[in-house]
Amino acid sequence: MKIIPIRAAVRSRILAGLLLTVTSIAVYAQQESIVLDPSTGNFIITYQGLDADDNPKWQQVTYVPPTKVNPDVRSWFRPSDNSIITYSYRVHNRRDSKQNLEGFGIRANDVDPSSQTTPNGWSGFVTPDGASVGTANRFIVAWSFDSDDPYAGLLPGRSVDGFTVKSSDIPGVGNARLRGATDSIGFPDEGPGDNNPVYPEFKKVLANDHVPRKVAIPLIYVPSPFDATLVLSGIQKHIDNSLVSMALIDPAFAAQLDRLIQAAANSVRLNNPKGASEQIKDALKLLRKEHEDMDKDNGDRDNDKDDKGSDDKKSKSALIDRLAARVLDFDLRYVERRLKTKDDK
Amino acid sequence: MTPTPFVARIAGESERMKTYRNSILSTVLWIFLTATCHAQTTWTIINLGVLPGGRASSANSINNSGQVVGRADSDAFLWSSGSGMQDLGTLGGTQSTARGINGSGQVVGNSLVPFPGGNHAFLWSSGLGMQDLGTLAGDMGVSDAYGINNSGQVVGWSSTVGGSVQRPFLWSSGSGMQNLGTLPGASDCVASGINDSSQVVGTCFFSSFRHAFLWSPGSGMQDLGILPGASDCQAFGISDNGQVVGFCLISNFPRPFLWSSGSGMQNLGPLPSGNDVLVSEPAGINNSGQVVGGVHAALWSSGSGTLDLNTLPAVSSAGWSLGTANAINNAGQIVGSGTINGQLHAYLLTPVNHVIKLSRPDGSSINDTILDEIEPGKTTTLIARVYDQNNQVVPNVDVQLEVKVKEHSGGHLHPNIDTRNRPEGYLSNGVTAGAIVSGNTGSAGLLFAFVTPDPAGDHPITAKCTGGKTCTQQGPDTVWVGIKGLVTLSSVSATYELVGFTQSHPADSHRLTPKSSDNIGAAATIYRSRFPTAPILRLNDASLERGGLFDSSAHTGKPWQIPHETHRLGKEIDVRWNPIKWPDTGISDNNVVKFQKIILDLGGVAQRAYVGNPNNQHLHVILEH
Repeated sequence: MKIIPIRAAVRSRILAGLLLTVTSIAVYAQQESIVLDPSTGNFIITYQGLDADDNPKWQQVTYVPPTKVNPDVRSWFRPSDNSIITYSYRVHNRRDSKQNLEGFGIRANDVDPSSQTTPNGWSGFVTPDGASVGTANRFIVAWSFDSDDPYAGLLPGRSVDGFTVKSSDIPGVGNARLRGATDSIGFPDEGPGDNNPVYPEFKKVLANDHVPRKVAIPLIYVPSPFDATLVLSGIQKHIDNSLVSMALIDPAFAAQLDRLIQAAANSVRLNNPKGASEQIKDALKLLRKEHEDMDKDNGDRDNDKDDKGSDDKKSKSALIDRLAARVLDFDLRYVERRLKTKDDK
Repeated sequence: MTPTPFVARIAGESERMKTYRNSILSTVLWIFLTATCHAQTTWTIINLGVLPGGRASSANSINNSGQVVGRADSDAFLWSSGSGMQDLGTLGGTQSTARGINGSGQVVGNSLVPFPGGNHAFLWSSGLGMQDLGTLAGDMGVSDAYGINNSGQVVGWSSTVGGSVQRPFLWSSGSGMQNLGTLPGASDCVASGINDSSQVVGTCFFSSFRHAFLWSPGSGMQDLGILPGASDCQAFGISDNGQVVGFCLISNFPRPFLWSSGSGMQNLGPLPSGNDVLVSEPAGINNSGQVVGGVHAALWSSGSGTLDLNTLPAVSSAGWSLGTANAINNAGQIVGSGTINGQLHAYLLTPVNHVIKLSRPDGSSINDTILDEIEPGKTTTLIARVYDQNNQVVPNVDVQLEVKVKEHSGGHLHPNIDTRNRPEGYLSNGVTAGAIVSGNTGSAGLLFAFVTPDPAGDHPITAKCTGGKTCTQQGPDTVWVGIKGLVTLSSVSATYELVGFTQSHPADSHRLTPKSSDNIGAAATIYRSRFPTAPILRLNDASLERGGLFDSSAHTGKPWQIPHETHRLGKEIDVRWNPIKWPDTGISDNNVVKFQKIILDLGGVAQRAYVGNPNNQHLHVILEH
């Protein structure tokens, strides 16, 4: 008889505990959240939304980010004549990618919109980037897999060639944006509003909806008529502002290059092109010291069979990333060559 | 400034004036009980004294520099704060009176000329002294000058040849004395005031009544009419705005009026039981529309009603009993006469106008109107400071602040007339928060925050002094809430068409940042080039005129619906994609993936919204992050 009340008490406690647990689960389930599922790489978004009659309703959607690809991009740049440079890219979707690759694009300086070429099965466009907001001569150059199927794209393990564009500007190193193929996110209503606690995080996820890779991009302005001091200044800025911040060059090495480029610019100002060439040659020697096998031919296709953008494994002794070295080598040789041209300044 | 002529004092009119003046005096007691609604501005009063050896004085006019004219014992005087009272002398007779003064310090009035002549109008200036303006009847006539404007034109009246009638005159140094004539049927007319536009006011006398007139250089003399039920009207003063003050007799009670060309003749007061006697004899008006007058000195203004000047602490504590208030200048200074220590003296009453100003804490503002510009939902910190007439900060003043929203501003109809529930933001002084907060300015001013609402709009903040002090708000007073720099999508395009609803908003709903505008324009162009036979894009709502929370209450019929919660910053737009509802004018299911890729390539995201909902399905496009 004494057990009964104990059992009753235990049962009551169990029931109470169960009730608490269920309540807790219910409360927990109704918290607004954005959670990364580590097993799939997807984001589960829970938010207070609206039903079909605009009444409040808890909603849950899954966002599959287009970032489940592991691409490589190889870039080449060669002058097609004295002033126009052709930029070519080969995109490779590595075998370990979980998605087909369907998008590739760069943000470049002045490019010729009509020069864009596109591989079969892809479409592309060149359009000004924010022309009305004071950043004229910036262009979006983009290619996407031409299919109505949101999941279609370059299969893992495959490569595609033929992405080219021409520009009068010389290369710098920048990020290309690559995307995996997936369906876009859809909501049963308007989606989480910006007063919703998940909204800021959701926006961050959306803003990172691509995979970046370092490639050669027309970034350094070349004026017409040619002005060597201006171009050398652009190279300096690119080294100081971009390559250093992207950790593609050792800061002390960057300072060495900067001094030589500055000296070359000073020589040009003093109407001493020969002196400028000597200083540029010194800078080129520094670069080649770090990457001895760098292509010395500045004429035809600058084929760097090992170059894989930012995924390069730099040797411990290299003070500059191989792609960055190739780009600077090209740029400095370009200036040197233009200095020798009679009509140029 | 407007002079203080009392036409009733003109010979032949005093008996009629006595009739209603007695009525006025009978209600003086009531005056003291009712004249408390006027703002309690701090005042100072100055006894203008008397001329050496004299006993009495009375001030008749004041210019905007604070120079006062009147009569002290038997002579006209000019008073200034620097020089005190100056005897202007006479035209050779035994007495003179100064009635008006302009901004240059030129004084007009009347003076007896040597016997056997009578009164002649005079013009006095510091360089030339007193000048006889003559009469319309030659040396043996009489004249009086009541007003002078800043061009030196003088008005008054003069007898004519024969001496039996009065005619208003306009005198100028170039043209001399000009007879302004009469209203048809009038026997006599007198001019009593002139403004800087050369408009002249006065009164014409008929056989048994009077009418006020306004004379203008272009149109001559105009009868200003009468108040309903009135039998008799006179005009005394005119401001540079063309407002005329005077009074009409209704059942023998004076009814003060204010006349303007737009509104005609308006009764100044509610007139219950004939108790509106404070300004029964309006004598002067300034350019702010403040009126002074009365046999019992009083001030009237449209915003503050009637103030019995005898109730002012500065007046009563100094032992004054004010009799008349004859003129007021644009600074609000009042002159007249009153009794002090048993003697009739001229006085000068000066309002000590404290000013309350709002600014950002460093004293800056965006411009003369806008205190600050801020995005919806953000907070701006402001400060309220009170200044004295010397622009020095007055410490420890209790103030009250109130924020509102302009009804048509920021792309909204504030407040929602149906529900009045559109958020308007609130103020906070760190202790309390709400639409109205109070506090003390302490030594440096009262810091307060304005937490702006989510919708855009213009938010005026009114500030006033409390705790028995009054002050006038000056300076910028509005907080501009919105997103700056949004541009309107062109409504003419070969690659897209603007759709969407704007019923609940007075402005358009297609505002975007320049970058987003470029991006959607580029997307439309690229889409068109890839799908030249497909329908062009239909662009639905983006952001409102100044961004902020995009509600749609008028659209849905529900209060404060916010379907476009994220459309605040001008970076998002809805694009038609609804093959069920809009099969021919939206993006098809076949093309939607490619359109989404275009948006992705441009750096944005095209989300599918209301998927499967036949009424609302569309693409929600984020154009920039």
